[in-house]
Amino acid sequence: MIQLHSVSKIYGAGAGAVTALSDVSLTIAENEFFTLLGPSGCGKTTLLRMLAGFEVPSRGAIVLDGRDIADLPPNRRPINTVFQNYALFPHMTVAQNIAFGLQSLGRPRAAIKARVAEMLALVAMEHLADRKIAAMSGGQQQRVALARALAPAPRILLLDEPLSALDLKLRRQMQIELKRLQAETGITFVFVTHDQEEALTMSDRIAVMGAGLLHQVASPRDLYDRPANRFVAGFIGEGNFLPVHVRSRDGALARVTIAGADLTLPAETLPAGEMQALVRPERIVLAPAGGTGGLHLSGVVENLVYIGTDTHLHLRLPDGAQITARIGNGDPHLQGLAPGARAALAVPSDALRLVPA
Amino acid sequence: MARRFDPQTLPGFGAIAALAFALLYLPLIVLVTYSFNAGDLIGRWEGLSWRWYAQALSNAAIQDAALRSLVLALVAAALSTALAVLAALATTRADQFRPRHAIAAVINQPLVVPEIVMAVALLLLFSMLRQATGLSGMGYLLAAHVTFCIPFAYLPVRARLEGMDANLERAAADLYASPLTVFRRITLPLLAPGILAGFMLAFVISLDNVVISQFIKTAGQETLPTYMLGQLRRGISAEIYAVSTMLVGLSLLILTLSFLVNRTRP
Repeated sequence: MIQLHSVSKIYGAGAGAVTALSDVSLTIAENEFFTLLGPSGCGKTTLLRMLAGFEVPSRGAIVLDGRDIADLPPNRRPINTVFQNYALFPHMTVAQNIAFGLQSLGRPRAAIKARVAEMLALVAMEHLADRKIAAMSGGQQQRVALARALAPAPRILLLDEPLSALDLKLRRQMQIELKRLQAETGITFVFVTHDQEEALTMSDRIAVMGAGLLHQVASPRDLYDRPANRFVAGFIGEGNFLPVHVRSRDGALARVTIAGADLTLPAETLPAGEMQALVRPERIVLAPAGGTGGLHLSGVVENLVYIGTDTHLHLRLPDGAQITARIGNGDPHLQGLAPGARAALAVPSDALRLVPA
Repeated sequence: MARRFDPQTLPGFGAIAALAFALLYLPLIVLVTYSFNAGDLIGRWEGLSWRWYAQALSNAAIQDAALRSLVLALVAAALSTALAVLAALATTRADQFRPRHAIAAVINQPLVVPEIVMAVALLLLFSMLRQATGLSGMGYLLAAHVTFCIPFAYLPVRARLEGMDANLERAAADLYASPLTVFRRITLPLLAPGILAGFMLAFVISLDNVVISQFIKTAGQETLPTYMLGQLRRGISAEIYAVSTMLVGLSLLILTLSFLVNRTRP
């Protein structure tokens, strides 16, 4: 288990100081596939570099097994890294690369040989043990980098956007491969990415970061269904954000107006302060106007985009806001709809999520 | 549509290029040719002969000066390269808040100080040191050569380091290597071509230095270039052409090797 306690990183001093990471606290469990997700410049790479030991926090503690390791150099932490550009040693063979960490640890020669063979088998590269690095494809280099970092059996494996240089097909393959490796080795993986789809596919839990702040730590499903705020809701998946006006709070019930439509909701679903309603496009259905239960909206069809299984329907609401719905192509209400026509949409109450603005 | 400007299409491009090459190499061609002249009159060709080479190689004074020059160049190149590697590491790998660009500029300063000024300055400093310490010997000449060789050894090492991915060293540290092991197993092997290139460049620069050697040397410390200068004062001898041709050959060989070695990119 590794814990971060109020970790901050500030570069420079005085007026020119830049805060890369602001007061981040989180706990990563044993044997977890944990992902740091956020746009570039959000601080996720800074956080990873602190876990590896390439950066020292300006404030806060990094605790591994009850010991603060924040000031330990990288060679004295049981943590290994897979670099974004792999950083394989070009003057060594595949096997020599994989053996490097074990040699530094002073393991006996026979044990190193056995472990290297084991690692080569793990990433299915036995036949390439004596190849030079320059003679390998990107996907092969990726596997060598993984084997090299896993060989010393670290407590934690850090992965810094390791799939970003691969083409889409290979990336999908490696996502599954990484998941398998994590399950087989039982090592905690801390994975950095800016790709939300990749994060949702692979992770046990995801930490969403933005501008040096930690916004939410949750499972992929919770992040998608119950985002903590507007930033997380906007970053994970697609969403429509509708203005919310609270008319009254009456005990357990609150009467609100969402995009011009009146609605009564349990008061406990309302966050404090300003809020917006998040509606996922796939939770919207085409329905006859004037139905009851949930949110009913009607407007003018602006555009219909056919995407194979579904159609994206862009609707302009009376208040000027635009809403996007994803309608299954089997839906009979879709027949005869064309740009300029009027259409009515319904959103079930449980598909409405009120998030702090 | 306007055509892109290409200087190669200008009239006379080939002729100007040929002229430039002629100006560069004509003096060398004349020198090399006359070093093989059988006669001893300048400007009159009397047939092909190894005569001057045989005479130069059996000349005890030339042997003595050549040996001194080679030893001096080897030791000066070794010392200046060792210092240059340390300097290059400090100016490329130290953290970015230190004034490393200013330090790099200071290291390269000997390249822009006029050599004669450097020579006078060293002469002054060394005569003060001689008086203060009473020490004499080859040490002064060696120190002078190391000084002006450092920037030449520094530049290829630094270029190599800048082209090297710093993540390689981070990866080695991440895999439990101590800073010394990182240097021994990662930095040094990857830097080797740059170090060799820097060494050979420093060797050639030391080997053909005249001005500073002429100022610093004392009796019995003749180097090959200062010996040649001394001989030329007494009248031109084709023996010197033979020595010059051998020097050109050696320099060319070393610089070609240095280029070939450094061509393999990290």
